[in-house]
Amino acid sequence: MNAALGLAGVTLAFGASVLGGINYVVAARRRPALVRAGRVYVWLVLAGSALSVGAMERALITRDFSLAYVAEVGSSRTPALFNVAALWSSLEGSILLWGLILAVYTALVAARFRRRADDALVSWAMVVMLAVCAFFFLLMLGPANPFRTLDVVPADGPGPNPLLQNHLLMAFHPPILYLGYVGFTVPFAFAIAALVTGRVGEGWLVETRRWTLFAWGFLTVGIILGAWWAYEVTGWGGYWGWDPVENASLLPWLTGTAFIHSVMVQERRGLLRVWNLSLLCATFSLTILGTFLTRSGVINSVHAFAEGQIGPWFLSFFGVVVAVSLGLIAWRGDRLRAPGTMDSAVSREGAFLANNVLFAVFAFVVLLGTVFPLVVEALRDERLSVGRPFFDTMTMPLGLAMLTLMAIAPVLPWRKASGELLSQRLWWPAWIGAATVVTAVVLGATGWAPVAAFGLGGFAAGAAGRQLVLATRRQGVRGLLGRTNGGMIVHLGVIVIAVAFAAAQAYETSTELELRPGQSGTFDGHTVLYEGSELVTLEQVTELRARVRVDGELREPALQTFRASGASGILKPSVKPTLTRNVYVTIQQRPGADGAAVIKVLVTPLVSWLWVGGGIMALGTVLAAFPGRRRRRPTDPTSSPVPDMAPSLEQVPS
Amino acid sequence: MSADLAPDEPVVYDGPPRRRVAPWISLAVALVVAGLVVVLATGKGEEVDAAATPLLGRPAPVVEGPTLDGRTFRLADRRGSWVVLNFFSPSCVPCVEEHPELVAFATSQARLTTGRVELVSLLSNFQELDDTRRFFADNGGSWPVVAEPTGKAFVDFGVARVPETWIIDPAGIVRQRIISTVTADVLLTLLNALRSRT
Repeated sequence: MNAALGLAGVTLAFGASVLGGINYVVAARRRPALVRAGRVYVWLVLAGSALSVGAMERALITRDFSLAYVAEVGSSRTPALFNVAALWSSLEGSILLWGLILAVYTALVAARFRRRADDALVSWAMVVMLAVCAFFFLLMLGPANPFRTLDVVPADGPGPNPLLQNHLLMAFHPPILYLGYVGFTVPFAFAIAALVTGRVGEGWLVETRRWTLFAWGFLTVGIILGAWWAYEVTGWGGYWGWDPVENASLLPWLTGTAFIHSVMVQERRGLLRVWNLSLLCATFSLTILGTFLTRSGVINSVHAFAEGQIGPWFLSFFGVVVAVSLGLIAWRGDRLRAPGTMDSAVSREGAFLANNVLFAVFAFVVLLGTVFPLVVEALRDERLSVGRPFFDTMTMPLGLAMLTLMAIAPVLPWRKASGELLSQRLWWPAWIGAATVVTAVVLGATGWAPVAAFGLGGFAAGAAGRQLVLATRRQGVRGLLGRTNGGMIVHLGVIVIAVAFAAAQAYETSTELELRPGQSGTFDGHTVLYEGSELVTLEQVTELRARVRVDGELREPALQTFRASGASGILKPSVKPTLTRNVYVTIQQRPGADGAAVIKVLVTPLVSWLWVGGGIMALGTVLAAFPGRRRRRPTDPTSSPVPDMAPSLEQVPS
Repeated sequence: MSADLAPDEPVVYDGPPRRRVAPWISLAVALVVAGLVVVLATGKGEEVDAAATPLLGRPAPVVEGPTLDGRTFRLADRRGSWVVLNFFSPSCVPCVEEHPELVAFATSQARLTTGRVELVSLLSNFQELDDTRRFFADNGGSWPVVAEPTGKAFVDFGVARVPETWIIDPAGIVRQRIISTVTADVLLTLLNALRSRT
């Protein structure tokens, strides 16, 4: 029943995607009247994918173990919330979720642009969206069929991977991340449409900018939640390990961030058009490449789903996406290039260009580090691993350069800046930076890199704060809205994260204490008292729970064994977050014959700032999405274009 | 196409003539990406499944040979305690990277009074005897290193590329195979898991 419903939904969605796509191609080329029919197909895609997800959730909730997927990830002992979340705990289900989110985005685009739907550009964008839909639903019909049934129905299943079922974030991190990944399909569709129709006017990219911002915001929050989850759950106390899957989420984030910045140059000055299109194509391609890397088992990773069959499909799709993008750019690129050039490197647009170079290099470094082992293996048949040191050394100077740019760029005017103006505007931010350095050193900061990060962070925060102070003085609370001001709040969030990262990386200390019950040890100014441990039997987990007092405060780190799957030795850390430093405690081994337990203590300063910074970034993104002041929509039809457009294109220095 | 799409201002460029660059840049990028796709498509992939060995759950093959310090190591003599076998070579980069983790693991075991796990390394290339001595002298580690000229153990265990780490239980049964590098934490966690299952 569930399998039949689900397969019907997938088939409906696939059929509607293909027919809808063809329909829109015809509509775009000859028959605009077909647009109305196209919308029906879009709703059918949405209905089909909703049906398939509904059927799968029904199967999971009612524990229908005749479905292979439910037998793989479901369990009668899993609590309700994690049973719902089991949808995205393995490969096939996560593709289902991907399909649903993609269908929702497609429907939203169709609804949002319904008044302009007879425009060929919108039709082509719909073609791209539906083609991507068709690919994903084809996957579900073929190699990643979530509705395979079992001949022999098991009585119960093992439940999701233990690491995926002991934290609430499991319910939020993957869907939010997917909202980000999949959201980049929308600007990509419009970029391809712009290339096909040969119209790269400012208007359309401004429209897609908000969609990009939306996707970007979710991707940002998704990445940060992932880091938080890793820290709270996995028991190694890490939040970012340059793992291939983490890198896969960072790559589109980097190119997306570059786009969000450089599209402003296109809007204000009409420059960098082809570059912006390329960034959108790159961002989307990287989400597909990232999915390939994580789902094909080609790269070893803590996240890898390790299922081989789907790899070639994603790789082929990646190849097609890149080939189409590059072909169109090669064909149209020169005609679409901007007529103007930059006046001066020391200007807002110059700073945006520098920003883009930094982000592009950053993305290249991360991509290189991720695929390098494979390249070496292909060339020399030798296994090699690119670890933390590579990423840390390569990205640290890039991060510092970005902080510097974040300090200088916001005060630069468009077109051209004079040294005098610059020194006047940077006066306060520079002092704040200097004061930060002094404060940090007084508080005991050592090492040039973290101190430089703190100082540059203060400098950049000063520049962001300057803009916010000026804007709120002028406009009151409304001065926090709009892209520039919201963007500055995002910058503040980024700075908080940068400072947290620098401090946590540089000043983290850890030790392992072997303690008998009642014995205590000290580490880094903290007293750790081991009181003993007990075996606690919960509904589905058996825990060896230790009682540890850190500075008198009771902590209960545990070693868990999941009965359903038999997975044991899962470290459950205990951490009490504070704003200054976190003391993270895990019990590493079950106590030996003499009762001595090995307690690992990890002291990480400022690590909570990572989540705080993530919150500030999310807030800033929301504020940036509000229009600062109501303007006409750039794509609204107008009868007298030239005078109307003049003020927004020919920009006077602010 | 609709002519009233106002914001699409006409592209007018009146500067000096510019060369066509887009096709060339696209071509260059296409070549790089094509190379990447070929690499990804032909990549054998790392055997993510750490358990993929027919020896799992069976008695470990014989390991016997001289160690660096001139004694003889016999795996059969170690019945009764857990043994971690690390297949390595001092000239392999991941092995070098892994070494501090092994040192940390050995240190954590040395502190235990009971239930100590024995760590043993097996050198893949007998030619590197001197390098190995130097490597251990420089980087620490005092556990036995078996350097046996025929490399029989590598064949018997099916270790083609280093590093690999195997866990043998007190009954001499293969319990875990880990391909590529390990960390001290991973080893401890695995050992705990395995112990609680016996």
